Amino acid sequence: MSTEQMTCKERVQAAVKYEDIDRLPVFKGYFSPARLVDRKMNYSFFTDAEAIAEACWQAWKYFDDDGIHLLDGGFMEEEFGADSIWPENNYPMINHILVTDHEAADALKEPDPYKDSVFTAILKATEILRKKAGDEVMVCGFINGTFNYAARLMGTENMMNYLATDPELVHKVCRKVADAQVRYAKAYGEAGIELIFMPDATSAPACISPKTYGKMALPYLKEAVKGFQDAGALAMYHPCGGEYPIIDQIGQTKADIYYFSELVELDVAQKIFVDRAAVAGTVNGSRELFLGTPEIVDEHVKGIIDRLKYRTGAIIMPGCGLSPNCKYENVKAMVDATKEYGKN
Amino acid sequence: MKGDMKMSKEAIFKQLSHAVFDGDDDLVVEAAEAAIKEGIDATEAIIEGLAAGMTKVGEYYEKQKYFLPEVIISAETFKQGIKILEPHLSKDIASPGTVLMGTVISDVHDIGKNIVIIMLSASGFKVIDLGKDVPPEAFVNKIKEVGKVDIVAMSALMTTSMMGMQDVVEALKKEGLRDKVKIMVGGAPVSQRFTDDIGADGYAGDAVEGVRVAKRLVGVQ
Repeated sequence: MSTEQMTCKERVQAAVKYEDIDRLPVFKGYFSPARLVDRKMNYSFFTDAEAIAEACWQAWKYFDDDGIHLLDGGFMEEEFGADSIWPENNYPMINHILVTDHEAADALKEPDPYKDSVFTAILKATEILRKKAGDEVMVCGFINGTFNYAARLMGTENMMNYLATDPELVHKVCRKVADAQVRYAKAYGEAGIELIFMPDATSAPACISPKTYGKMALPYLKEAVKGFQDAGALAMYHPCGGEYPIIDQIGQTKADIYYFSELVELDVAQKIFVDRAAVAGTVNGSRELFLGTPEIVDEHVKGIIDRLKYRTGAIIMPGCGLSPNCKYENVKAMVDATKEYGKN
Repeated sequence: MKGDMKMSKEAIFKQLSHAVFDGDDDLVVEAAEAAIKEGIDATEAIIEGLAAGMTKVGEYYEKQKYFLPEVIISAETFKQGIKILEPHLSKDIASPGTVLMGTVISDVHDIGKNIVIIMLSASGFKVIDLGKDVPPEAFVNKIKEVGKVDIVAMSALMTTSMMGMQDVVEALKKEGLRDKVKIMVGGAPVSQRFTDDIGADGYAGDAVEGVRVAKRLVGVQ
């Protein structure tokens, strides 16, 4: 097959099923494209559906990759009752820990995706983008992982402590988070989302043991993935942080795409998941994309692609989320290198 | 200690160490009180008991036999033991040096930093914790206030914030303090290359390595 015979959407859909493709797909990844429309990444931007849609559209045009990615803007924590800080040009942060005991966990509000000021803007942006994108390219959304949300509500250090001393409290919070994730996914689905990205660093081996992962996190992650798929979207799960010790368990989530950090070799992951799920990621977001040059990125991406056994079933993308001040020329170099070296 | 049976010094040290390793708060209180009752030197009890337990925790963490929940629970137990023994110290514990530690500005992730602090403390370092979201001038001002700092240690979890480390290095240079301290950095996006690029002296990938690097920087084994 020669280059660019497929639309972006066809390419991704076929790659997920390990079917023949014209070239490997590439995602620019998840970072705020606000500066492409001369905006700062702040509350005003995150609640402006037209600006979000325009920025994401411009980002797709600019980077010329295989997906339109709605930025990390959903802020379910506020809907749970947390108060937050919105720094100028950075991601929002929780001001105070919300859950410190069972009473507080019981008192958590039930997030309503249609009342969440940030998420309603994202839903509207999804609808705008779906109309513009047609059948050419997928609109990809973002819902944080169950443990990531729980850690933001409980405080990461406290949550690690509760995992050892009061696991029922963690279960209680995760139960509410997983239910909310499914509600948000349903709303996303109604707006026409086609892929939902779920990062969950807090349940990865950089934080908890594989045993704790299986017992405490996996059941909720399975529910979230099923919720995404029931909403009509592909589920892309990112167990971020030293993933190898749980690579035998993550398949139980039955996600469509497993998205790995640079700590995993994409070719090894592909051999493990071949014909079951696509694999994605592993381009080093710090050493190459943030600190490197286009030439360094080109060589790095070539190496990743050259080591793949199958020229399908893999999506090249940054190993994790990128900062808003990432070097655009390096992200572009990653896309160009995939187009060059990922041809079939 | 059941009844009034007298315990040997070594047995008490072993209990303190086990208590920390197992995250057993009741046992650490019992063993620390026994140490005081038996007239055991508190400094020795901290080094041979509590710190030895924490060192074992660090080894298990490095080998991925322990994870954050276990480390945090052990750290709490370690602190509990210190709280009981510290008022009984007859002399200061010989310290390899003083570390000024903080998560850099625009970054509120401090769990990694806190674990490094525990590990450094267990290795005898005096650690001044500036907390999270720390601006460069706070590092500078604290050095001026304290007078003698051996290592400035910085943490960042995001590429968004890691350049804040370079700002601290520059601020130290501007104030003529750079040559008076060693600088070490760590955190998920940080690498040896970045460390070299910003002109820091040491990089550690995790808390256990952090102790090794800190010791190397101050010239102790």
